[in-house]
Amino acid sequence: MARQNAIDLADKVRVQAERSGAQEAEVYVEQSNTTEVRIRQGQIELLQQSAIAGIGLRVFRDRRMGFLSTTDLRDSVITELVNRTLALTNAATPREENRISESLSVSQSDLEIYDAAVSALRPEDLVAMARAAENSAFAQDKKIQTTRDVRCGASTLDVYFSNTFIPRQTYKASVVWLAATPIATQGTQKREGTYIDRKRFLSDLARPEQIGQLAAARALARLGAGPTPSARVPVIFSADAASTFLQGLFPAFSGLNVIEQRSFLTGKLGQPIASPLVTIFDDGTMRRGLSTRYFDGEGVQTRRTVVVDRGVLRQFLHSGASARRLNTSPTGNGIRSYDTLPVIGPTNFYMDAVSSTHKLIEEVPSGLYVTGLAGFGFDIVSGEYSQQVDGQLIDKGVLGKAVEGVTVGGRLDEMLLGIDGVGRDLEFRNNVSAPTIRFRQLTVGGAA
Amino acid sequence: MTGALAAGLPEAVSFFHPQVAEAALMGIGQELRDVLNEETVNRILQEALARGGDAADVFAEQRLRTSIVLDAGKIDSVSYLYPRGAGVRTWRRNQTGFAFSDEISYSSLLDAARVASSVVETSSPAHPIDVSLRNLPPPFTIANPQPGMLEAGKLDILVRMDAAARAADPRIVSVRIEYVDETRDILIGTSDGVYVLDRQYFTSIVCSPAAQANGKRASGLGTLGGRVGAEYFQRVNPTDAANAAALQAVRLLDARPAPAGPMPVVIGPGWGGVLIHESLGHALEADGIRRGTSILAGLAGTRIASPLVRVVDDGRWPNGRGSYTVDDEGTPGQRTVVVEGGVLQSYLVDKQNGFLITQRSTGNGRRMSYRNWPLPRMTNTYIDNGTSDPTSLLSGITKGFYAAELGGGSVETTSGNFNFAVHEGYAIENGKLTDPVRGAVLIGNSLVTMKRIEGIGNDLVVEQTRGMCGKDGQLVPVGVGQPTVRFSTITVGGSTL
Repeated sequence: MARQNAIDLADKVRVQAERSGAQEAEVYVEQSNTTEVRIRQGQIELLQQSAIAGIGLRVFRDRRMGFLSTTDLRDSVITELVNRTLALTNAATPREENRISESLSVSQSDLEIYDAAVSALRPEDLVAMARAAENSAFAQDKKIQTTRDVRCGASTLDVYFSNTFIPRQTYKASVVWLAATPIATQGTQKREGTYIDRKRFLSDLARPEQIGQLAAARALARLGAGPTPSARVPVIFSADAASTFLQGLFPAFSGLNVIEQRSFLTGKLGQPIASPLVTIFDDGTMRRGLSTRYFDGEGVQTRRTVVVDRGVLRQFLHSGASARRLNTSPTGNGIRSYDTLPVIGPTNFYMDAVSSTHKLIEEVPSGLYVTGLAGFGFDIVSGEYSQQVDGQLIDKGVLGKAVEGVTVGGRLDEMLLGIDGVGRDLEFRNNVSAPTIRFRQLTVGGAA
Repeated sequence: MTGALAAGLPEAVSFFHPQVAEAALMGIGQELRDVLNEETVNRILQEALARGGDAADVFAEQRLRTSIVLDAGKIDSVSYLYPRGAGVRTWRRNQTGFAFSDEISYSSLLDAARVASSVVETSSPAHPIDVSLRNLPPPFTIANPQPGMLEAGKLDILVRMDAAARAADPRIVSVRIEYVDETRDILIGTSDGVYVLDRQYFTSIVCSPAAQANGKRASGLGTLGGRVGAEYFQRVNPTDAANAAALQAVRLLDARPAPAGPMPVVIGPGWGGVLIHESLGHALEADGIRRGTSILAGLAGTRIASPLVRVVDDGRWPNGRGSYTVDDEGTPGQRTVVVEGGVLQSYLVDKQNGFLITQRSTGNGRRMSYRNWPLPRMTNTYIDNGTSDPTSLLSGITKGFYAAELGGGSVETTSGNFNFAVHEGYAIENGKLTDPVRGAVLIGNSLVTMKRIEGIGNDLVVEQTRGMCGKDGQLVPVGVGQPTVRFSTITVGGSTL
């Protein structure tokens, strides 16, 4: 069902906007094809195939900006929408930062974000991968008799960009994923565990058997969990938990939030904001990275940015507009879909691994090892943090009893400075990633 | 205030097809109907069931969304979004095939039907399908839908809210306001003969001021909207909401850190209903019941909450964000009592999962858009009024926590472990509210926490101005509500012991 006409139409729409009164215009088109299957007890629960083609147009007049997006590509509709958007644009306030990129030199090297083998996956291939992962989970333990489901999908995306100054730019990207969620049962207690892998290239994806096995281990580890008493103790976040944590922290590094004083990191540029063990990158050019792209949503070339260098805050992340307000360069973080305006978001945002010989768990006499974080616990403005967690107790350097029904909390500035261990186990299964990290001390809220 | 509105006409209605504005219900979605009439829908559904299956449906949608953002005292962006398309679903028992097209044409939907049908392989003969138009009574009417307000009126609301927030206190350093309104036309045809058209309106204004003083920062939140019309803005003054949000940010500057650990907790009315949404609501949705993965599976007729508790999911609550005439699979929206006297009465049921657990749909089959298949979802879910005077619910608590305003929450329905964030709290000391306390997450378990309710106020509020619920990647607006509710103990996740 894919339609090629969205890309064919893009330049026409932009030129139409320019002829109708836009001094500058930018068009961004996405076409994607996605297939996903979900398996449960060996049976196909869902087969979904989708083809998306949508167009997004930004228009500028006297430094005022308007935006429209649609999937309805009929001429009459687009003409009507362009005219209405231009009229609405008059209502916006002129802002000096409302400009479009005037040049774009795209990396000539292959960033390896498209794999034809992913496009070639048929539904029956995805079904086979999902079944293999589920069977592997079942084989781990008799306590695993069911799954919530196992999902396997493949997607390819074509992006098209042009504006008044920059002629046609395109790239093609692919992603394949496999996620297993087995359920472990003991008496009346049921606990699920999820393991997801996502990759640009099919050959990089973990084997289905391994994914099923790791997911099963996670579910089994949660059986028998209960709360632990409230205390101030060392807390370790597993690599997956640390990745979730880093994702929640991202808005603090947004240039717009900093300018508008909505980040607790406002005013901290050049200062130590974290332990010297902490180095954070945003790298839109990482080969095969899940969020690697040749240019961002407003035609700015992507790059590798050192955000935090051994604890010192070096750089906030910017779209074109936020960069212009601070007289600095955009960092290629204008992230968007065809139906959204560019907003500051992560490309491949990660905390670097530290190849120390520290044994993060073994060194803790008494503490908490957190494997899962849930809920909305970040207040980026005030810097307060607390979240529901589960994991395992650490007793004399050894992982013990499963824990749930507890929270961890602290002030984000103190927490980051108090990181006293960073692991080597950095993996890229999401576009925001971190290795295992250890906090010297957090507040655990649990039983009385 | 009303001056900006007086000229407001239902402009969106006449956006593409002026004749639709004059038409009554029959005219709604006329443009969708031109392509997807009863005859073509019959043929698409027959194609979707050509290889067998228990049921199929066609869902077509067009939305016009106007979005305006004010930031740093300026109108930052103005946008129109116009997504349009249709999806076809075929299901047989627990198996679902789904495909959609961004183009609404007979041939593209026949293609989608073929893809959807490929999930089933039975030899059962396709039966003839004959859909007929259903004329369903709306739960409420909106005289002058908000999307019809002239753009100048919408901009004026934002500019005045910005001024009000900044004027509230000199410590306000930043204000962001996001305005969205939407007209959503849907057309549904189902293999059990339903053919229905509906138009749904939605409005949301979110005002987020930030305050700063002495190196401390804090944010406030004020929201407006629901499925409302111009008359709403005659009742509710947007500048009051902006002012209140700014004062909240300022109050939180001096708030002390929240305590950690279990303690008596009282949750304030209205948006406090996030609690019931997370604690019981999701676990009552029929997909987890059918799979046996929800902690509430098999517990119908048993006590799951304090005898004081009655929980209602009401898809017809006046102006509620989760209200509708018809859900996204053609079943009328309805009011369902899910818990009565603490006993589980009903699950929240869509067609497919209802078929599998032999229960009728309760009108809870919802989708984010034509690109998604329906899931059982909440509408407006609330704990019903009790009999206590709300202030009396504080008495007898020597040391506890009062949650005045909540943030978001989440739940894992397999374990029943849930959490919800508190944005603004107060310490309770000797039966009285004392110092403001900063946000913290509160946690509980579906089978435990609701049994710890000791008292329910008589001050029910069902919140219609905020609440987007995410499940399986699909976001839908929902209402939540409750009166003031007191718990013997809840674990508070603060940062101080």
